[in-house]
Amino acid sequence: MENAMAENSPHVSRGRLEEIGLGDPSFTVELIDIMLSDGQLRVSKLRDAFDAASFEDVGRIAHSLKGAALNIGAGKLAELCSEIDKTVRKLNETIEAQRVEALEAEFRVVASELSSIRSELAS
Amino acid sequence: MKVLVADDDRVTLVTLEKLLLKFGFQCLTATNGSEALRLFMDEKPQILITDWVMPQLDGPTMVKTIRAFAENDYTYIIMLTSLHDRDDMLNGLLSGVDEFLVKPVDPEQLRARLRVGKRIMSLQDQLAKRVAELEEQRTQVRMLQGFLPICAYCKKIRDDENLWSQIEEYISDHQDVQFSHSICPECFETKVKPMQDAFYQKQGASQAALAHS
Repeated sequence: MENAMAENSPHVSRGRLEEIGLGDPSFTVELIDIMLSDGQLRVSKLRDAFDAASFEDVGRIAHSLKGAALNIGAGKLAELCSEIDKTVRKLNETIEAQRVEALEAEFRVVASELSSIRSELAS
Repeated sequence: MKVLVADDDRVTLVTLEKLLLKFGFQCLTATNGSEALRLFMDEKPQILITDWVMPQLDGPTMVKTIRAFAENDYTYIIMLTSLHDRDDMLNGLLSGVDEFLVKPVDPEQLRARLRVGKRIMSLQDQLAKRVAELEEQRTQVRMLQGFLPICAYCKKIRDDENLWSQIEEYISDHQDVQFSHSICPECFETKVKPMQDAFYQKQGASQAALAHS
């Protein structure tokens, strides 16, 4: 557990994962699994909503993903979600495709790091 | 103590469920506002932790509905959201929440807020019991006040100072009522007419005696 949580990266805060895992590696693994499956689903839905120009849905999904990202210690992903959420939901403005692409790319990095941590914790 | 958690993010929901169980609470979960409202009505939790932005029914609308429909059963409500500017916080508090927490959830801060909630709900419970006791006592006092000691013969009434008074006097003193004395037909026949007859008879006898003298 200590080795797996020892390093922080700009994408996933291991300190936050340790705090929220309550010192229980199996619970941390459970949270990572939920983030990987639910997170991927939300990123796909956000893309679909963007392609359909349903910006209200884009904002709502980004907001929800922001909560999960903050909880798991994925600060940069949370920031990208927050920017989209604020632009769409609060300012009632549309967003450019690059913002969605940046979010998708960041989620891939976060998912990759979470998968590595999961492997370490599960072994 | 029962806690209902409403959040459309499963990571937050599972985290809160685990934390609440660890802190010794019973936990119910809902992933949208409508489901949370239904669970709230069915299960009557003492504490509610809710997100702001949720599908179907958002947190503030759900809180306003709960406050409007459950006036007598107080619930301690914590709003846990990633909305964090001043206006959001004020609007959240104005919707009727007791506490506003910003995501990500801080386990120790949450535990402290739950302690406050538990304390307030315990005071609320004591207050409700006391009010129920007082209501019962009031009913008993009203019942006792409803009994008036009345003399079986002259119908005088005994008041709180142990003094006996005429029934009309007692009622005039205790109610906003004044009596105007009159005679009912039955009493006229049985009480007044015999006196009248006796009077006229006596008067007739006196006049006859005067005529003879």
